[in-house]
Amino acid sequence: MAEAGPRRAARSRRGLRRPQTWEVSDSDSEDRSAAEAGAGVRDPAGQRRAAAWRPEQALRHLVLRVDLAVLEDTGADVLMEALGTLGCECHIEPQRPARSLRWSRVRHDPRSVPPEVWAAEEQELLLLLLLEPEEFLQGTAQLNQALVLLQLYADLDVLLVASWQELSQHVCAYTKALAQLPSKQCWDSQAFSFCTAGRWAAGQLVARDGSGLRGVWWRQIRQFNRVSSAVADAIVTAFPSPRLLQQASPQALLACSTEEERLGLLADLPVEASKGRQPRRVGPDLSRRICLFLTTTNPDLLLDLGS
Amino acid sequence: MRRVQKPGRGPGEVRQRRRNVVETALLLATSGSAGAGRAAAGFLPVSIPLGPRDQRGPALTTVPSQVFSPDPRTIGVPASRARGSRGSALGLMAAPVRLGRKRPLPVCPNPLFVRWLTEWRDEAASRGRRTRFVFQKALRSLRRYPLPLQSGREAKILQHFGDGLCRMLDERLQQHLASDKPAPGSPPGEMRPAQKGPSAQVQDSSMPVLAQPQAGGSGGYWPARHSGARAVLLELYQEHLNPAGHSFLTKEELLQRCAQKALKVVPGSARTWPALRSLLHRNLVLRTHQPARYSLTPEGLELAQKLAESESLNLLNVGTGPEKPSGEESAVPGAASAELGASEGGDQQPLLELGPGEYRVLLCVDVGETRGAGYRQELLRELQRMHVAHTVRKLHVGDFVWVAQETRPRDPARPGELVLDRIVERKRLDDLCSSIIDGRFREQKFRLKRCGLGHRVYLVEEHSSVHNLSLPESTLLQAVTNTQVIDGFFVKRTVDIKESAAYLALLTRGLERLYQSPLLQGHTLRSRPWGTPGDPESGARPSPNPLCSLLTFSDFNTGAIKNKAQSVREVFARQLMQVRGVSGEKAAALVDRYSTPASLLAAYDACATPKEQEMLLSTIKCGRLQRNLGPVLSRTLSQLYCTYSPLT
Repeated sequence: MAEAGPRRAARSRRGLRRPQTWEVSDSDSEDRSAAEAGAGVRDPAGQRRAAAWRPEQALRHLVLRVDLAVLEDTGADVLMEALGTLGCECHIEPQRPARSLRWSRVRHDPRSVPPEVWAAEEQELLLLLLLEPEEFLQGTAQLNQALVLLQLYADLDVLLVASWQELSQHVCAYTKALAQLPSKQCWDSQAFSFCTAGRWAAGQLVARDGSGLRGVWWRQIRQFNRVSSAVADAIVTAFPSPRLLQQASPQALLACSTEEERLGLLADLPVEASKGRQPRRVGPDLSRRICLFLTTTNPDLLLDLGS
Repeated sequence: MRRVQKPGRGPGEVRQRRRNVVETALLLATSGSAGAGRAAAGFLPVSIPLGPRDQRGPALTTVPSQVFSPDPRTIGVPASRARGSRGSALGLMAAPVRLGRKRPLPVCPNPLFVRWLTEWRDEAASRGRRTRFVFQKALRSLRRYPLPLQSGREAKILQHFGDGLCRMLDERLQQHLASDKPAPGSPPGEMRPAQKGPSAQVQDSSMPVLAQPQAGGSGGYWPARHSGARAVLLELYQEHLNPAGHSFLTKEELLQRCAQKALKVVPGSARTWPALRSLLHRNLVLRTHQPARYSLTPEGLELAQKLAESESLNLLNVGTGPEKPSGEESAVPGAASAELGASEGGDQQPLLELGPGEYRVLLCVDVGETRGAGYRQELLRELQRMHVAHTVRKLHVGDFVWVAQETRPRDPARPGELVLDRIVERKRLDDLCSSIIDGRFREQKFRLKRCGLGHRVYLVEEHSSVHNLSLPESTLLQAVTNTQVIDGFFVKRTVDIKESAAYLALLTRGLERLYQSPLLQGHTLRSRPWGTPGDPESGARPSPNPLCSLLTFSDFNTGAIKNKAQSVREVFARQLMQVRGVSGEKAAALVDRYSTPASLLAAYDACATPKEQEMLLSTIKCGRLQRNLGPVLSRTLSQLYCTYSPLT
């Protein structure tokens, strides 16, 4: 059987660590830094569970079945070699459909359990068929039309490659992407209406004695719509901690006779103007939003007046 | 040897195998063979990988509504004060810190004038009038003055108080005294909190006039009869009373109901509605959730009750129906809603229907896509050359979409438009590099997944220039592959603008044929509201064909605007993530437990010791794996939220 070969190659791969190129492009770096921040230090069970979702582990539960006919082509050595570096279980045997590569996820680690067991609980993830369009298409125009038809009517994606080398690169990329699929999917099920990735979400480092928190508070003010650095400066200068701002409200409340005045607490705070421009202030709109934000008990309240 | 194509399945799902693709392949196979010409070498393997298609973005989240009023009166807060600039800016006197003992607060010497000036300022502000600055300056000046003023005329001594303003104050004072209330210099305690002066809803705002005798209350806000504000309050009140109702209304529902009753209510542009905005500003109406829901605050409820009573009083006095449309008027509501409906390309209509043959398919090109003179011209030239029907517009998400546009609209300037279920994001390879590096890449994909359109296409251009880029080729390949496999986008790679244009042209033609094909024969395209067709909120209707149940272009485009109205929950979550180590998952868990800052601060207040505060959040379970937040982050957050002195 061809099984022994790839398996051996896969096992030897564990020794050398392949640079994980997907990390730069799309990683959950926050998850890693969170672990570093000591969040899971006293939670070994949680850490073990988390590790199970890591790409390296998820690879263990991937099985790639390659049709024998694919590798019989000349030039397929490149692909053969690439399969050995994948890190997942590879099975080379006659397949239906012919000339296909099929990725599946299995519940049990396929290395530790006989094929009959894990094959029963296989879940197909991706199917790749190899074709030669010149066999049934005439010219680029027809090819392009065919691609659009496949897209619109069958929801099929088509990849055009010019060499076995390119194909191998894609096969590796698909494998890595599928390995990340479980962790990313659970990521997306969050209920936020905003993306939790992005520069703004990187977070400020805070030392044990609390230094850095002022920076955090400043960044927190900037999370409101339409708040510039200068405006955040003005507010943080006047109220250098959230509690100080929260406190200001009930005090001024008794001196103010209307709700509007309470909400306008911050409105007159001066904002440093950039050169040559009019001196500005925080303004009633932002003041209202911030004061409402700190005092309301309704989490669904919309702060902005406009849409 | 015949090679057979077969469709496959998406990750995590078992889908029915579709046979029609095989037929297509066979058709193609019989038309002869020749080199497809992509590579110089004779051998050309073609692979057809499949990606997940059903990963639509999560539907806009809805949470059971709780109608609370914002209550700034937190009880039991220690009396320490902020020092420094804030005190002088507000004209309040700074006081020595006395822990645990309430100190007497300065009493405002001219509360009525302060109140009226504020009201006039807000009125002007909500109408975008420049007079708001006049009132504001006067207000600031008045606040600094420590002595009580007996009349508007006396106020002339203050800066920014001119003759006109003083006259206004005196007139208002007269009205106020006429309803038999104490003098202006008295303390505010006796006044009810929700009072505001009579609104100048119908007349010009600079001269507030008493519109009608008030049903109760002295000098409170009282929207005039037939005004938009009154109509809104009464509609919301009715909904509140309705046991079968939701106790809130959406903007469309409000518009519809008000239009039926009072024609003057039709807003100038459907997007902003000054009356509604003014009510929001006065905290009489509450806006929550996305898509927005409007409901009454306790103050608004109180006022609405009184309005309703006065309505029925009028009924008795005058002997005719209150706002019921007369025979003549009742013929008009249809026109009124049509008027409302025709505001933005017919998009405000509750239901837009386009039957077969009543629409054309148009490619919609984002204006931003045409930045840089060279690119714009070339792309549009190519499209014109290929006779692709297209239009150039500002899209708030994506670079290309398609609309089904009404061919014979009632108003030629505003044809009805539905957006087809496909969106294309075009990225040149160098753009892709920079967006990956600065983090925009994931944010953009996130927005595309939430835009309401199901089929997302990533068009990657300039594939020949893989070198001379800021990221290695393998990284880019992985990024694009992840987009395909994990985010479920269709990926199309092209070499240059010309090829991209050709691809768009083919897609446009393909969509035109699809919508004329036997598949859709006799099917009418219908507009649908936000929320995916399978949304449980939409009720137990049979789920419509996604090809025919479409968003209006206006809904789609406005729905995608960045910096939309933020909810308290959302801002709070974002704020929590500003601490390094608090990921999206952790923020979600925290907000789940303490959904507003007030709630968290109150919990800290309820702790008996600082140690308890430090540990308050440490056992909150985060993410699918239910990991503890941990003592370190819990402590950091307690430092942030329990420090009564300046942070460092």
